[in-house]
Amino acid sequence: MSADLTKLIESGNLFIGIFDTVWMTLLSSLIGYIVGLPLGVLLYATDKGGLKPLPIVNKILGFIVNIFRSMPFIILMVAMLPVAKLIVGTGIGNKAMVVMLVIASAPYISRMVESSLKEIDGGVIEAAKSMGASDFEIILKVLLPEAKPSLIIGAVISTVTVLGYCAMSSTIGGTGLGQIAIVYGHNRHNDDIIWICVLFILIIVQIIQEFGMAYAKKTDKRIRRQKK
Amino acid sequence: MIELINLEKTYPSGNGKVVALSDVNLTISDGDVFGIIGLSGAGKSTLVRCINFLEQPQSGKVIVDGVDLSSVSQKELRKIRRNIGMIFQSFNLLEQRTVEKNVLFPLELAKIPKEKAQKRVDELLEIVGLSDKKKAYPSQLSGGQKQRVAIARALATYPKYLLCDEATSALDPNTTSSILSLLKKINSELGVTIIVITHEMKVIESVCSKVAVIDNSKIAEVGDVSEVFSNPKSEIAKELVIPDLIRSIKNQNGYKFRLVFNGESSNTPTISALALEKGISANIIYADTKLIDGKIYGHLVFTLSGGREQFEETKKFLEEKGVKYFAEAE
Repeated sequence: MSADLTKLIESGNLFIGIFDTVWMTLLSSLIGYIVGLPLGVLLYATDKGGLKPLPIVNKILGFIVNIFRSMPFIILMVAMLPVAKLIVGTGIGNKAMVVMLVIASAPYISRMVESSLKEIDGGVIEAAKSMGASDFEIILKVLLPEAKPSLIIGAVISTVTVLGYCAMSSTIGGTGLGQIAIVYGHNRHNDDIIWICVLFILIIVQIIQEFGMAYAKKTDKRIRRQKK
Repeated sequence: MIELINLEKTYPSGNGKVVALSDVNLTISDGDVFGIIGLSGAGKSTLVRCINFLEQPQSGKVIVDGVDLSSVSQKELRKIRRNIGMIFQSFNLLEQRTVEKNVLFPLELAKIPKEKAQKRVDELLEIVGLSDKKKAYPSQLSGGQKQRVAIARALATYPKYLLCDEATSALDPNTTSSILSLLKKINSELGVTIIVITHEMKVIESVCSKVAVIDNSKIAEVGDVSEVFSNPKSEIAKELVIPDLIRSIKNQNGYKFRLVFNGESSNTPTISALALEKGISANIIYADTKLIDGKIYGHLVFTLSGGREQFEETKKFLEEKGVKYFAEAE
C-alpha cells in the first residue's frame, strides 16, 4: 500500500470522494430527469403518429437533442462552462459540474424516455381515447404508468452513464473518485489508488444496477407470477 | 340513433392514397345489435372508428343522437365518447393495473367520486362474472376473461352504445360464444345498442339483428340478418354467407338445392320426409346447421340423381313444407 493511499484513508478524503461521486451522480440524474422526462414525453407526443403530431417542433427538438448527444462529454463540458457560470455563478467546483452533468444527461435521458414510451402498444392509447381521455390524461394515467418498468430500467442505465460522466468531470475541477484516481493515482504513479477507485466505482454501479433492476422487476405486472 | 352520412375516408400512402371508406351511409337504431361484416381491409375498422371519431372522415357526417361530431369541441367530443364504449380484438387493457383498477379507469376520467366509482366497479365485475378476479392483473387472465374486463370497463360510464371491433377474433370458439352471449345479455338487459365489427358470419348470425356488408370501402348490402343470410344479393354477401365449397360444387345433371334455415323453418327432418313421402333420395353434399336459442340456422346443400321431373317435384315439396330454398338447374 502506497503512502499516499494510507494518507487518503486516514484523512477520510477517500470517503469524501466516494460521497462526492455519489451525490453528484444522484443529484445530476434527478435534475436530468426533471428536464429529460418532460422533454422525452414531448419528443414522443410530437412525433409522427404521436398524440399531437407537430413535425416542425419534433424536428427542432430532435435536432437540439442530437447535437448534445453527439458531442463528446469532455468537449461539451468545456464548451458549457459559460452556461454553468450563468446558472450557478461559477465555472468551477462541484456545483458547476452538476450543471454540466445535467446538460449532458438530460438529452440522453429524453431519448431513453422516448424509447420507453414507444414500447407502449398503440391500442391501449386508442382505448383510453375511446373512453374520453385527454392527451394530458393519457400521458399521466396511461403512458407513464404503463411504461414504468421500462422507465426504471432506463433510469438505471442513465444513472450509470452519469456516474461515468461524473468521474470525467474531475479533469476540469470536479471532485470525487475520478479526481482521486487522476490526481493521487495517475499523476503520482500510485497504481493501488487507481484500482481502489475502480473498485469503489464498480461497487456503486453494482448497487445501482441491482437495486434498480430488482425494483423494475417488482413493479412490472406483466410478468406472470405464481400465486401464493 | 347513430347516422353515418356520405362518409369518405382516405389515407395517404406513398405517393398515392388508399380509400378506406367511400360513400358510406348507415343508420343504426337504438336497441339494435348491428353487425358490420367484411373481409380484411374492407374498411370496417375505419368505419367503426369514425363512429367515435377516433378517425375523422374527410367528408360526410357522423351524427350521434342528433349531434354532428365534426361540429363539437374536443372537450365536448370527449364527453360524447363516454357515451360510446368500445372493446377491441387485442383487449387493450392497462397491463400495470389490476382488473378492478382497469374498470375504474374510465370512472377516474369522468371524475366520479371514489366511493360511487368503487360501487360501480363491483357492480360491473358482477355483470361480467369476474368478481373473484378483482385484484388480478391482466397477465394472469385468459383471453376471454380479459375481454370481460374490457367489456366491464367499456360499460363503466353507462354508455348508450358499445362498439365491438373484432372483439371475439382472438378467442377460441367456446370463449367466443360466451362473450357473444354476454353481449346479447348487455343488449337485452341493459338496453345498450351494440355495433359489432367482424369478418365471421357466425358472429353476425348469433348476435345481430341487422347487418351491413362492407366491401372495397363501400356498403354492399344492408338489411335484417335473416334476410341477408337467407338471400344474399351482393356478390360479397354471397361469398361471406355461402362457403366457397358450396358455390363451386357442380354435379353431373346439375340439379342442386340449397336449403336455408334462418330460425323460421320448423324443426322437422326435411330430407328424410322427402325420401319417405316422395321417394326422392337427396345426396347431401354440404351441411352447416346449428341450434341457436332453439331455432335452426345454417345451410344444407344437396343434389338429385333424378331428372327434371324430380327437380320440379322436390321444389313443390319444399314449398309445401315451407322451407326456404334456392334451386339451381344448370
